Amino acid sequence: MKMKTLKKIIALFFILTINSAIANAQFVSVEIKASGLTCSMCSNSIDKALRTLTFVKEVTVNLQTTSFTVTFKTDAPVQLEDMKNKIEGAGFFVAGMTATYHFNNQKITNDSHLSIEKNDYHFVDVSEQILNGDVAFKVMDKGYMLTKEYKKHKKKSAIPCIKNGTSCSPTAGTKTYHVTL
Amino acid sequence: MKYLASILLSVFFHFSGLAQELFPMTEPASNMASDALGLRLGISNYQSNNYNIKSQIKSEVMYGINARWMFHINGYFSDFYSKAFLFQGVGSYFKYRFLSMDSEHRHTRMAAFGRVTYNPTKNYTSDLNIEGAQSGLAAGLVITQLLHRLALSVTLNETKAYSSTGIIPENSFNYNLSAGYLIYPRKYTNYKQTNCNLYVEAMGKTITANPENNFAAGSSLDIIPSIQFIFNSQTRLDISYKRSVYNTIVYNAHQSIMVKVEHNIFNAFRNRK
Repeated sequence: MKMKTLKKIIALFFILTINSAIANAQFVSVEIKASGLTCSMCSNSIDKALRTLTFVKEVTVNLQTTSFTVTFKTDAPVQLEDMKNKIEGAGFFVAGMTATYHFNNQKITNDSHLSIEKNDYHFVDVSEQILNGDVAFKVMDKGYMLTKEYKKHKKKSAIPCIKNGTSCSPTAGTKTYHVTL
Repeated sequence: MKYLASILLSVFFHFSGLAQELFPMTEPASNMASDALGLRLGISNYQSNNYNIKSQIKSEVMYGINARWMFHINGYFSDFYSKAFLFQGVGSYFKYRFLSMDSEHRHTRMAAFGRVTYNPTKNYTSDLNIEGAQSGLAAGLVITQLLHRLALSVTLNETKAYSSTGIIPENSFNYNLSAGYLIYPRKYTNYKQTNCNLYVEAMGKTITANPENNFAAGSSLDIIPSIQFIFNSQTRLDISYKRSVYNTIVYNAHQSIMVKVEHNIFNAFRNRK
């Protein structure tokens, strides 16, 4: 009887450790669609530029749609802005950026902020919900989507920091990304 | 002629490929990637009146400073204007991209560029060519439009040459129209696929007369079809044929074959991991 309880405790311990390892909040991947290019040499230059970032682990590409899927190292914080800058440095633009993040029961409401890897994420156009597991969100800032699309979204929005493009971070000095689900 | 045009158009629209703007004869308004280094070697040949093959070699080192600025350093060698093969000077080309309107499958880009060359060799020719014949300066604009399957580019520039046989500057107005499209692969799957692109370019030049020196007024218009292969998404091979369709400039090659090889190294210096 005692042995059985011990076994149960050990089993429970292992399950908990494994669970907590999986449930570690982190970026799973980021998908970036680049615009203004067609040739594979252009895609290659973006690919090579993204790989120079210290937090990037792997880059896979769909050459037909010029979409790049980036995965990350576990120890370095992910900077979405650095990836955008690399694409612009290669001579192209970001037509869309969707990040998949592993959440751990985090509650969001419309217009609420979450601090993720030292950056501030402002959730817009969302309903009140609990984020758990892999959830994809789209970056809605200027330079992270086609200019035409950004202007339309900016016009529609009632949130002042989107309307005038300013940062609205609750902690001074941190970068704010406006995101939606 | 009408029949030929319709065949060409249907071939053009049949291919599901995309437009290409890596023009063999001109530079597009788009720049190289930041910190990309390109090495290029081009040889142009024509048969002279006494059946000798005349050659001109142009070597280029290209570098992308950032997304907006890039430059080339050139070296020229030829026997186009002399019996022997001579060093025909050095040059620098720089380009600044100031407009980018991008959306999916299309973009409009504009850039301004300048060229400075110095040629110590004396050449006796009425042709005006600051890349191999005279020293000179050039400034111009390039506008490139990518429209789904068609890439079009217009380059306009004013050139001022300083003849090494005198110091009187001479001017020319140059205009180029380039079009390109991808014929292979029909569907991109990986970086190893060899790309094949077709181009047609028209290059025009009008030299202003100056009675004070040996330059004469003249105009020329060349049509240059090219085929281009890109290997490994990194190395480029261009094979071009230049044919003069209109020419009043003496000593200009009426037809020539050009071969150009280019190799690109991404993240050459600053971004090396």
